[in-house]
Amino acid sequence: MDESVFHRIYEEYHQDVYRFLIYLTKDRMLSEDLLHEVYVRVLKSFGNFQGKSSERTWLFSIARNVAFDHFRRSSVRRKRTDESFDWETEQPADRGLTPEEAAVHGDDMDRLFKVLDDCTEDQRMVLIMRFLQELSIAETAEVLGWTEAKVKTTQHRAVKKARELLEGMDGWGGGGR
Amino acid sequence: MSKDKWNDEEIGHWLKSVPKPEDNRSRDDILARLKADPRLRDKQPSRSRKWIPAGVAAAALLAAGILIPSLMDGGGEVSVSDSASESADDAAQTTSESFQSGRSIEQNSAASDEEMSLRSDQSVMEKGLMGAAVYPEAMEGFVPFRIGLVHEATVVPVTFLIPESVVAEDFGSVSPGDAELYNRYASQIDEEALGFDDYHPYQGTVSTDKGGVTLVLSGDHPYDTASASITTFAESVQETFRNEENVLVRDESGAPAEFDQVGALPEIATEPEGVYFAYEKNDGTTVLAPDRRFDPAHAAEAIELMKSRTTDLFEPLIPAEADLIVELPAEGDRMTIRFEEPFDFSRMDDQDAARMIDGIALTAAQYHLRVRLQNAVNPPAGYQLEDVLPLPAGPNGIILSLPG
Repeated sequence: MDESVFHRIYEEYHQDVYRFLIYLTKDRMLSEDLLHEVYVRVLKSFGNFQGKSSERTWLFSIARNVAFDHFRRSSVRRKRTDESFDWETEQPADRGLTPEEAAVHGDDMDRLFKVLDDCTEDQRMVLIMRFLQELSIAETAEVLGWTEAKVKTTQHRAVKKARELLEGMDGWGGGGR
Repeated sequence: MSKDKWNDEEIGHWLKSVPKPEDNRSRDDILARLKADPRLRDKQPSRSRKWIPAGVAAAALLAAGILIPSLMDGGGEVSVSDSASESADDAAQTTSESFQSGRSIEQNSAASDEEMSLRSDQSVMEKGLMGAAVYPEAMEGFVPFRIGLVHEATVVPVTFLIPESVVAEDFGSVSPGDAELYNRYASQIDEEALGFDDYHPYQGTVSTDKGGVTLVLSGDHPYDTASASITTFAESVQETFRNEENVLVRDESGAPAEFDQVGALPEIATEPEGVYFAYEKNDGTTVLAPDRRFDPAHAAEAIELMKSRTTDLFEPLIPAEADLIVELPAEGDRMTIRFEEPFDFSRMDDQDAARMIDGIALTAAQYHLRVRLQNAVNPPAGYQLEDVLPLPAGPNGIILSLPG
């Protein structure tokens, strides 16, 4: 293992990738595990990185795949054990917050996760990439394997969805703080 | 912030202003965990104990479901090279020649044990594993030993073919099951030489009785370091003991094994699952591996999923533009896959075409179905599409020649 690569990746990207995984999983312990997997894949394949994309988008692509691999395996495992979970129609939040998930919450985070949970998977990814990770449209397209047009269209719908959800929450809340 | 109406700009600002979670662990702790991960350990020179002493041990390539014709009746000598690409080219060339001579898969498979063993002074093909299905005719004179090898947390089932003479010498008149074969031969496979992780044998003991196979894990086993490592372990066991109904997993006290991430894991079901794709290892060789994230409702859906690309790990075996209709049998075990437009295999690379056919056969075999391909032309050498494809015995075949 090349420790110099680890140290550089850690200094430049660690917290960003960690946050990305938190936004997807809402679970600190799981995010730590998945981040470990990201490092393993990065450190094993860094020599093969050809620079066709930026290092940043390459890392986020790996992180996204690691997370999605985990979700799909988890959903198959849950189906096999007869727990009802349909990845296509349900969102992880449907099963309620575990103590680990609750550990990353505060008021704003609660609202953020509610917004993310009620978006489609595509909308969620765009909100995370564009606003929370502050990637450009081009970078977002590269990470997700989309066209820039699709990023823009999805972003528009995602923001509209977020607005509906936030206005609804505020209406239920009955006032500001 | 709470308000009645939000505009787009305010939503953007709010999203960016949400407090950002921080990873409070120390850098040293993160690094220490990585250093402890066996996948990142610097490769050690191949341990000599993994091989039978020089002069007797060798491995050979099984190409596209057909044994290398030069090992067959009337064939010439085999030139075993160290290069995977060279050996693949050699295999393709000799396969093509045998096809041109009019030999069928069945004829090419016939060979004596004497012709099968390689000369002791031939170099070992360490990277001679090619993605291919092992069909029954190719197993004549061999006992298949299937094992779930591991490459960077991805489990790749490999079918080692051990000469019957060797198995007879090792086991006498007893017909060994999965556990017996595993205990006898797993430790002799040099996984790193084949481009896989050093994973076997499992850290524990494998035994069998009337209840089936039991795996008793040692106290310091490494399968609980993360959720991914448990998944890899379970999938490897699932592939290795396919002929068993399930595998009981115990700790050294005899209680169901406990894993931090999932709790008790008393048993691992071994029913086949997954859709076959091409998987490229770091050494550049391509094998066939099932992607178990999919959970198709039936074989027809499984075949259709072979066109899907959802991750950078697995490469689809069926081109996305191939329109096919899958007909499941009302009874019997024959599934028909018909291409809506004539599918010309000669437009693909030969190896890709062979992998596509093998992958389809292997995916169908997960449902105990054989496949008939219709409206397809120009198959790669050795495949005859007029007939139903035989039910493959396993993927990624390698002949393991051991001292007799």
